[in-house]
Amino acid sequence: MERFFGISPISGLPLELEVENGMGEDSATVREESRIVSIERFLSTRKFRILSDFLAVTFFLIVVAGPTLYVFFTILDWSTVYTWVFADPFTGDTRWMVMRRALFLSFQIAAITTIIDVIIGLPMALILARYQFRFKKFVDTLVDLPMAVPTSALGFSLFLFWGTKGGFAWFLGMESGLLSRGPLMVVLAHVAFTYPYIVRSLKAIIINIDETYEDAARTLGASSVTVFRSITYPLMIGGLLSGATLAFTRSLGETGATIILSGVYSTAPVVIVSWRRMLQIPPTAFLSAILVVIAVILTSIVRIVMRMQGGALGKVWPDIERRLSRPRMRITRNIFVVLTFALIVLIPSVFIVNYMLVRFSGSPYTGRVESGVFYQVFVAPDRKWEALLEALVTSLRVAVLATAVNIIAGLPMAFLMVRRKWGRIKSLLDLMIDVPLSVPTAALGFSFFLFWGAQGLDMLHPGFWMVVVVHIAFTYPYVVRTLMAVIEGLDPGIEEAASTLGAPPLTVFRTVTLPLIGPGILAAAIMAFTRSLGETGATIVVMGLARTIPVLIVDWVESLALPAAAFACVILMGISYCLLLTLRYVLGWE
Amino acid sequence: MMPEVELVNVSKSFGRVKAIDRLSLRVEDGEYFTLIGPTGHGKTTTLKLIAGLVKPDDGDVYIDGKKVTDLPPEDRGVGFVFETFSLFPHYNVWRNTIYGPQVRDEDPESSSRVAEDLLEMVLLGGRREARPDELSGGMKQRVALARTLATGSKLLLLDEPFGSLDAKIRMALRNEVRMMVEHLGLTAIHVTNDTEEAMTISDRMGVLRRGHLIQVDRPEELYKQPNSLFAANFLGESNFFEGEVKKISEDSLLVEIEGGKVMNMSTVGRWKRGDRIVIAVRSENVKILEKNTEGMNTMSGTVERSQFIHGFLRYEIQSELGKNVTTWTFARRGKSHMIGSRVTMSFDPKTIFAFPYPEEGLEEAISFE
Amino acid sequence: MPDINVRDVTKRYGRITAIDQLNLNIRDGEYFTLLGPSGCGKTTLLRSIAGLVVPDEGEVYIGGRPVTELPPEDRGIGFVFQHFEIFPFMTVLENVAYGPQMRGWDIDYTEKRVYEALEVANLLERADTYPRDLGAPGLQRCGIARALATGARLLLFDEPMGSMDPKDKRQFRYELRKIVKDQGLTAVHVTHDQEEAMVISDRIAVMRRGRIMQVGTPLELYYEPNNIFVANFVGEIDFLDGFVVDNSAEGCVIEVRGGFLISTADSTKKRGDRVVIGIRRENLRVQLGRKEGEGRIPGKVKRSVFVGPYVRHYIDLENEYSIAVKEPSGRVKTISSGQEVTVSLPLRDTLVFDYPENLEDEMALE
Repeated sequence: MERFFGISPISGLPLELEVENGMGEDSATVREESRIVSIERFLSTRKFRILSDFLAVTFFLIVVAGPTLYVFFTILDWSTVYTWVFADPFTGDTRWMVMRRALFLSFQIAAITTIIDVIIGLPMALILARYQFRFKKFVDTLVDLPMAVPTSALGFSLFLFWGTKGGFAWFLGMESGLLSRGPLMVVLAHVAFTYPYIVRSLKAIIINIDETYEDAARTLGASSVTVFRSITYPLMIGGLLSGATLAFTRSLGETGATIILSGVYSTAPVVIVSWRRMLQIPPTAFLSAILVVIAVILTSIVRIVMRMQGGALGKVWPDIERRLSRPRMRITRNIFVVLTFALIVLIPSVFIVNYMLVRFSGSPYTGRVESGVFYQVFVAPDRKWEALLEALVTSLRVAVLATAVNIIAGLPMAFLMVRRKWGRIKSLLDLMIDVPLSVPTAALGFSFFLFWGAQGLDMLHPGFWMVVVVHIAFTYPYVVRTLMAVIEGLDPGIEEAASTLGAPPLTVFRTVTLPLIGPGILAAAIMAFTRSLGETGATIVVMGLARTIPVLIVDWVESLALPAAAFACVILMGISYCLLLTLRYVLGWE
Repeated sequence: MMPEVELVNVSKSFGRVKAIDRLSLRVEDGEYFTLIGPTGHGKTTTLKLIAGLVKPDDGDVYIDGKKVTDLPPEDRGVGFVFETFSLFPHYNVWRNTIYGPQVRDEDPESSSRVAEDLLEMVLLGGRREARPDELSGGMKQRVALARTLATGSKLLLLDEPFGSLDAKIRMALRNEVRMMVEHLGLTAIHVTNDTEEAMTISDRMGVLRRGHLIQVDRPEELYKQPNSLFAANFLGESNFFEGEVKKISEDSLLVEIEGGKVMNMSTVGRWKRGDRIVIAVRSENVKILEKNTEGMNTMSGTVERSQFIHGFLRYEIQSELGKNVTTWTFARRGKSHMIGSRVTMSFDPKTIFAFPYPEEGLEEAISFE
Repeated sequence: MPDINVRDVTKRYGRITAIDQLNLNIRDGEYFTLLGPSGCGKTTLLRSIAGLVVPDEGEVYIGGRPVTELPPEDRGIGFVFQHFEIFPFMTVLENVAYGPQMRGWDIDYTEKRVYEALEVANLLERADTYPRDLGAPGLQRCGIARALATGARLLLFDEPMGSMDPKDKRQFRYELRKIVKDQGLTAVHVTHDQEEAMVISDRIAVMRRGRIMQVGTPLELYYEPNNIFVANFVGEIDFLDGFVVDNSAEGCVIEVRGGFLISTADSTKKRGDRVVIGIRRENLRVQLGRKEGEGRIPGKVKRSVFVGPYVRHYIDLENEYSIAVKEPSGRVKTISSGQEVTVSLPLRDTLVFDYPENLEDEMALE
């Protein structure tokens, strides 16, 4: 008898076999395999399929969709809400005024952010999708970098870059920070963190447009600017609008960076967080409900505009457009792209690393050890490193749990969404899956707090498990959407081949589909994991005594322990960035 | 004014793969020129180099005697027809057709007239409002042709234009295209891997293999006088025999092939006694004799397989040498050889080609890889 | 025994009827081809035999057993795909072993079947190769071996050579037929390429718009097509139209435009009938100069094209028809563009059809 290592032809997984005659597999393995197939044949019957569909949908409705929309039930008690918001015996309608101002500010910030995003993101997406150059992979990775930076860390980093004399001001030779906390800084932060999202989605859209359309247009006499205007742009307009809407919703709902940077100006999510801290439940519910409604509307808009295509080509100015297509203009554009990316997105996002290194052992100005990272974290009597370690463990546990649950529950859901022909019901589910994606996480967290907590089912209390449940909900769309895309991209022929070879549906899934979508599952998992790791808003609202790192960062910034906060940021960024690199590796750099 | 096209020592690599290697080619005014060769041997790249969609690493491209190597595609005045049609999906038939004149900001009235005429010519005058996805494959390619011609371009580059169409549509459309090119006085460069298509439509054609242009000639000459084993094999079906030159006389060459058979061929060439060569005979030049006779240039065998291919009978005959010989004859109803019957084949001395035995071996020399 | 019976099968996709009340009988051991233009329903028919499509109406029987409700994995068929669909993460061997393993056969029997299948498909030497290292013909051989290893006696081919080079295609079709015949299998093959169908099949069904136009051997379809569409779709043909002016037991005489009289061997048409004549291009004879007489029409050579084994002459006839003639290229070449010639139509091989309601539609290929 000899030992033999090989790959199982059925599962594609490594196998360790004991082979008697040195030829082929042990017949026990074959028997085992055929036993599994017969079980799978049994489980492939209609009855079990219906059961699995039922479980997938139920999970979605009870764990994800229900609690997200629950907030509406609490404002049904309209008289209480009305009293709190519009007719408080002491402050009158002050809360309503605060709410209105916050919403208005949120919309302004989101709109400006989106416009800047498109202006600086579109040319970058175009370059990454259509041009070949050296270091392209490198640039591509850099563009994704801010995605790895949790928003609270990003906010802090931006504050250091724009708002302190050690940042951009130092470069300009100024004595104090260039900007102070406020809407402008919030816009800058939102641009930085939505930039990778918009560049990525636009890039994917452009790559999907068959390049021969552009070739055809050029051979028909259109200069590259005309080609973009008349072919590429009309074909991508749906994608552009939906990408922009997504950036808008992400900006609208952002909490972590905003808390740090908004100063005295509060956006809607920040208001939710602060009212929740003061335990003002009815007005918080009301504001959350408004945000959920806005989210549902925006999601519906994305659906509608996604398939849009542009119309006829109007007037052409061949001379001007030709002049704009000249190499010199292209160089100008490239410089613009590189400068805006570096100055607005890249350097501010990672500036914190520099900050931390400079201050590691002490303040560079006074030389005081107490202002150093090392002292604050490891030496100071409040033993920050213990809190940091605890928060890190909590963060990782939450992320692991949320990811695992979502992969298990999301896979059947994704299959069902792609494969079943349910008509209307499916379109409704399709819309609902995206809702947690666009609801500001603070509002989402608050709705969960109401649903599971004392005001609702009274099953969970703010603390670790509630954080897990909330994280499951807001990472769910990422997992299901990624898996759906992978399954849709699967060649149906290959599954048909397996079924004509005699494999029952569940066996086809295990032996053919799963190995093919494996990388996609891993990608979905990493995506969910990173999002969970960086989340602030939802966590603050439901965390109780459990603290995750992003929350810790906010706390430390607020208590002005800046060097320690920087240290925590860098650790979190390091973990996220490693995960992101893994993701890119898994997806083959694309 | 019809354009001529010239490539001078053009090379192009993609990564480490050399797609085109020092290729020179001249296509005359008003010519219908076809590039043929197996898939992945540089045909499309050559076409894109002419259009400017690909920039050469080395060498120059001339159109009408003017160097265009550095000119972007929009300024070269070429028309390009794609295998996948590439009709703009967001425009209807009319807007697709008028796109070229529009982006050049030409007079709308006259360009409308041109586009209308062209759509009539491709028999789609009645489908102006249709979206591309409502059209069949053949119709899409007709619109694509009209769109290309509407720019007034006199140089038409066609990249496997019929590749994604049904076999019958292909035959119909290729005649239409050929007529159109003649009628409008265009120069056309066409890329295909279908040799029958190439021979049917071309004035001249070039055989591409591994980025090299190995032979350029009129279809008939190319077919009758291939300069290499590859060309002999790629155009039409041939039988190959390895052999040695035995005797050279004024007007004939005696070659001993496998199995000691002696073949007589009437092209003498530059051979010496004892040269190792490969002889090739086209399948349609192998005749099946009515009577069984012995003698030079004959071979006996057993019919292994017979196939009826639109009007032809193709036989595969297990020859006395042990290897299969294929023959083609026009089918006449009621006249055929049964499978298993013994036949004698004869090889006309005038139709035998000879090539030096290739260094890389016969298999490799005729391989399409 | 895998004979196939398709009874009154209809399949609709939305408002489009892909196959319409279709009946078909495929015999055991037959190499059967479904031929037709894109969108004629041939693939839908094949997929409903495989069980990959469930028909809206009608029944499918395989070996006398109704299988309409059976899922594909239980039908005992082998399906070979246009895009091969070889599992990319398994070697050739593992791909081929997939089917036997699904059936839980013991290791010896599995091994035997797999190696037999690999041998039949000429893939023994490449058993450990990964699909990415195989060319199109190799991938398709793997597809066939994989189908054979399951012990399927019925093979369904969906445009199996659709993604190959013309040269590979020509080689591969002989291999395909040989495998099917040597192993005594039944095969149903879908293609739009009439040349491929003619070479590979025992019988062919020509389909159009969800219906079967004719079923017959390649020679029957070629020499005795039932209708204009089949005549046009199979082989190269030209059509003239005219009226029957005389008929007898031996055949009829037809007058075409320009007053030319053509005798045919068709005796079913009556005097005064409006008819369409079809003549295969290789059955026409061309002579130099202008000659009078029945069955002859003078014209002028527009273009002569050398196509390897044959030459195609495009001729504008005096009565304003344009036709083409195929001649073996070995003949002494005397005909060239611009020359006056006379075309003679053969008595026996001239096809006669009733004039259809819409001739153009009847001849449309799409």
